[in-house]
Amino acid sequence: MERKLNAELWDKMHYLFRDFNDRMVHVELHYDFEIDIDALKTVLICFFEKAPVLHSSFVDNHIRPYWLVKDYNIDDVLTVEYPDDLSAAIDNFLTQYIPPESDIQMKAAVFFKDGKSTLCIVENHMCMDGGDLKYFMNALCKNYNDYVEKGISPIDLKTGSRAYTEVYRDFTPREQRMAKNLYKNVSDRDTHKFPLTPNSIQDKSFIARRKINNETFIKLKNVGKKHGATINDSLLAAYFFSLYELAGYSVSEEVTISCAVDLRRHLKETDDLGITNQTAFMQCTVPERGTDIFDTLEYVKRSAEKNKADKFMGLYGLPLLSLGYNILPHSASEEIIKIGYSNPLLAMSNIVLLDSNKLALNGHKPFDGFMTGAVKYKPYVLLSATSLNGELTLSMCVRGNEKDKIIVEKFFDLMEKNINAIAEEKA
Amino acid sequence: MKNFADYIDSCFDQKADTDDMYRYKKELLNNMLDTANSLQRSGLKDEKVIYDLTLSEFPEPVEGFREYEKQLEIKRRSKRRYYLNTVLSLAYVLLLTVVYLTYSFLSKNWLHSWLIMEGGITALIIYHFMRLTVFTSKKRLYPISRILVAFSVMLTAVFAFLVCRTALYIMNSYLIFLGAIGFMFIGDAVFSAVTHQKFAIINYLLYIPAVEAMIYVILGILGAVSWNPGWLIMVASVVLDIIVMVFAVVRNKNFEVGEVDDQWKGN
Repeated sequence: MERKLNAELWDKMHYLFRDFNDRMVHVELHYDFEIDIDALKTVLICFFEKAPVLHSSFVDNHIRPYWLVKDYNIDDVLTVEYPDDLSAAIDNFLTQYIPPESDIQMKAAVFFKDGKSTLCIVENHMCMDGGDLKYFMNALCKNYNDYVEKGISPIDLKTGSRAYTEVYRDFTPREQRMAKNLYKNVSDRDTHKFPLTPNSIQDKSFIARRKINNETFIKLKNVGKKHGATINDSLLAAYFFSLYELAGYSVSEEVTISCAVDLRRHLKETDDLGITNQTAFMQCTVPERGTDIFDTLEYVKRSAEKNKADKFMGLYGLPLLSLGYNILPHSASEEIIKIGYSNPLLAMSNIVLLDSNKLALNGHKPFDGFMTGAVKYKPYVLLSATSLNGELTLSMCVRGNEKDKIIVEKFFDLMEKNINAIAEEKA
Repeated sequence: MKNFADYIDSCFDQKADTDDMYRYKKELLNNMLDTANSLQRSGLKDEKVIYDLTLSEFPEPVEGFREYEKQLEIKRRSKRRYYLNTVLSLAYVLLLTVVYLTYSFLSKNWLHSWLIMEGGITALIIYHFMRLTVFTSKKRLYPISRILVAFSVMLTAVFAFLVCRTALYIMNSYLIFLGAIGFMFIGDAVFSAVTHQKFAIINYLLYIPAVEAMIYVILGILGAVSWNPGWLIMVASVVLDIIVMVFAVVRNKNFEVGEVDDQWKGN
């Protein structure tokens, strides 16, 4: 018998984002041993059963879309290869696109080379966001270890509601009423954009990465503390400062970057929720670049503090979106929402700390790795930042050409320069 | 493979199964076997994992059986109600036919006696429409519920028209249909209010002028109100709309979102 799952609000929103990005979230982890493939397959199958949205097909019937749970085989999910060119194999795998109508919404690959393993995962953002993907990876590794070392069946994955309304559950009744009346449309209307080339049918997806070493990262944290700024604030300041230079904005222009905010901050416990999306954007605005990067940092700090002081940060507009999807058939809702919704041209995904202890497999911690968001279609960009083993990895996924790769690399050069400028601040 | 049947049996204390318990256990067992087979098809080879994972998909069989019994009882009650309604409806129609025929033969008033059947059948149809309205409302199929309410009003209007025209010989009986349109809108507005629909206020704002237009035309035709200044009824409808909007704004202001707004303005 057919089994259907609800298409939740954020599932539909990420489906709507198909015009702006490819909806794929990517993970890459490197281990210095060979992963037990049979064990990994067992864990993946169990997790797919626990989270059936991962083996469901999105049915857009234009009226009320839903997920249709499908049969699958693990060999369609997990690819195992022994590539000659590891980087190319990883890039090819990570830049693939999984259509929402596909029977599976997550694919994994293990590449073996020289006694080491690289575990790559690509999943549809409609199923879960970076926050829950991080949880998923931690759970995957824990269950793998319990299964391999102790023979415990790997079935420990949280299950529960995927509805966006769960975000309100820990509010008082009065706060819930207030939050559910936040109909204000807070889309970012800033027209400043990243200086990429125009769209072309020749464009291909690529993932650009840049590492910031441990020493610089620690200095960045310490200098940030001195200024009362978080790592996120410092990275944002570097982002703004680099953009002004790269894109040639006038230093007196006001620029806004949208930052992803995990709405689980409003929840005390998330263990009884299903894997889902609970991420919104908050706008960080600087009124001008400032004389130097520390001025920019001060503006960023102020903007971030104002946002954080808001009890309902990230919740604005959700009731409006829900209303938009509920009152009309889906295809009509999408058209109406597109009129009111403005996808941010400049965005940043909050820093994700990848805990190497939690990601260890059989006692082997990953020696390298990162997580990054969807491949954006021009002119949209998203800068992702993850840290693993004290190293910061900046990444940007773009559908572009060789010139765009050069521009992104130049951007990363500027980011490095500006991050160093903060980190090396004279006392 | 470990035995799912043994597991299910071990969860329950009874030595002998009732019919319901046997059906529940069978259904549960089939579901477990389907899940296990599906996992094998997916490529899972470890039988212990298949067993553990399958059991985790069907936790608390005893609690599940209580829920199953509850649902069974609801279904049975629903079936009994359905049969009772069918039997009573048939009995009602038979009784109605007897009354109609008895009255017709005794009074020889065949010209008007058919109204007994007409009225009786109309009442029966409206009764079933109302039951369906409640059912569809519970399922939140509001468009269907609203159509049923509208049909019920129009059916009543038809019967009222037939009585007025054929039995009472009232000349302007057709005005009943105009009135029925007004009642349809009123009925729909009441339904929206009772079911707390999101855009009920838009219904009120549209229906008030529509109903008042009907009232104006009916009173005008009947001569109860002259056309001029009877048109002031329409002005009154606009005033009423404004009152409704003001009331809605005042009510929403009481939500005290000031705190949120202040934060936003501060931002």
